Amino acid sequence: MIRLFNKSNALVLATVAVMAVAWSLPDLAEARRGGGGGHRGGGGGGGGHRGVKGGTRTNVNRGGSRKSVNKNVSKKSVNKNVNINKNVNVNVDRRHGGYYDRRYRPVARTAAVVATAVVVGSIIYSLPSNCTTVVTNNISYRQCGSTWYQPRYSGGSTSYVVVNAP
Amino acid sequence: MRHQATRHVLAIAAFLGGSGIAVAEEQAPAAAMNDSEEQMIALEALNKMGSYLRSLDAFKVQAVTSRDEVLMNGQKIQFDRSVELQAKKPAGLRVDVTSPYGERSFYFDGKAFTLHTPENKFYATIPASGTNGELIETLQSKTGATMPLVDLFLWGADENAGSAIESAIIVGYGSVNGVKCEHYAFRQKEIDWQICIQQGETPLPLKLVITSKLEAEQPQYVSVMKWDTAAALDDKAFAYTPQEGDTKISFNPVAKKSTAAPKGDEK
Repeated sequence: MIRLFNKSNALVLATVAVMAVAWSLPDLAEARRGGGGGHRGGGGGGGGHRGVKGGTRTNVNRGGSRKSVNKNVSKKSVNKNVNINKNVNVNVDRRHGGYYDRRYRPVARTAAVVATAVVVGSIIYSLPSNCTTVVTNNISYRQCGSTWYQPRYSGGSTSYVVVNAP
Repeated sequence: MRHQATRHVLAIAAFLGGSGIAVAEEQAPAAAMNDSEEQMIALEALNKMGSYLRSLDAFKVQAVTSRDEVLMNGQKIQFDRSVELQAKKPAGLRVDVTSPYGERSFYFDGKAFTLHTPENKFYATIPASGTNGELIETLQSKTGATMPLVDLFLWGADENAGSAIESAIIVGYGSVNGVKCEHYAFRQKEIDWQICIQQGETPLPLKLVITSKLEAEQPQYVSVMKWDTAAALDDKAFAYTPQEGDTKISFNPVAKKSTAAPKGDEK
């Protein structure tokens, strides 16, 4: 009986582990938007499974203008991006082909979690929960505490660029 | 040697439309891929499909796409999306992507391109002219956005596209959603890909599989398509009209410089 209990316990743990992995996938993070996604751009948070490498091509034919994008970057280089602020630059985000994988960027499992003091120009893919929408001069902003974001499309995904208060 | 002779016969049988018997009765020898006749037939099938696609005045495609994502530990997770694509010649595109994780719609009416994400009520528009195929180029250079199923507008559009293909084989006959098709497989530098092209007078792509070889895990993308080439399309479908509460945002400009990693970082 006790053994059985242990087994099911292990199963529950395994399930939770799987869910944790799944929830770290930005697809699902996207689904949870509004519930406080946090600063994805702030790094992977140290979990070994967090983040997605990407790199799946979704089309055969590529225009000449995309030649450079073809040079996919190995995970090695992703992991080298341990500097939070560097890690969120757009170039990192541009590597992959599919339009809907933008929000997965950036990924850095060795990065520490930094949720404060977000640098202007940083890009995140889901907002914290304490945000309000402010429209000034026809431009839409999200104000989250003392940080202001301007929504933009990066590729096919919505990103939020940290800006100075308008 | 005998293998090669068999493959010739099979290749020709496939080319002639055959009787629906699976072609690949024996495993293809791994090293016999420079069979020029087989390559020629496979490439010709691609060209025929491309020409047919470009001859269509209007069409509608319902597709289910599956895409592998590779976790940092190498585990692959597959995500599905539903795609509805409407297109008319020469300019008119509407693509609606639905998944449990979000929706997005792409609009192109020959004058402007708009991306709309209903989940956050954002949209962004850029002026865009030209054909559907030209739009895809514009998008990649100006917005970095890639719509699903763009290959439909690029196959056969570039005469040099075939040169990227390093090998082509005829796999045999397939069936997708009950429709018979001819299955071909191609190798390029960074991807392997397969296509099943509908048999007969309407050579439509019914299934596409792309295997990315740059990642060690070789993630795949699969698109299974259902076609309606007699669809009556409403021109209104191609133009975006903001709805109550929609907010206009902009596209992040595409970085001009190559984003390739420094040499030392490549595999």
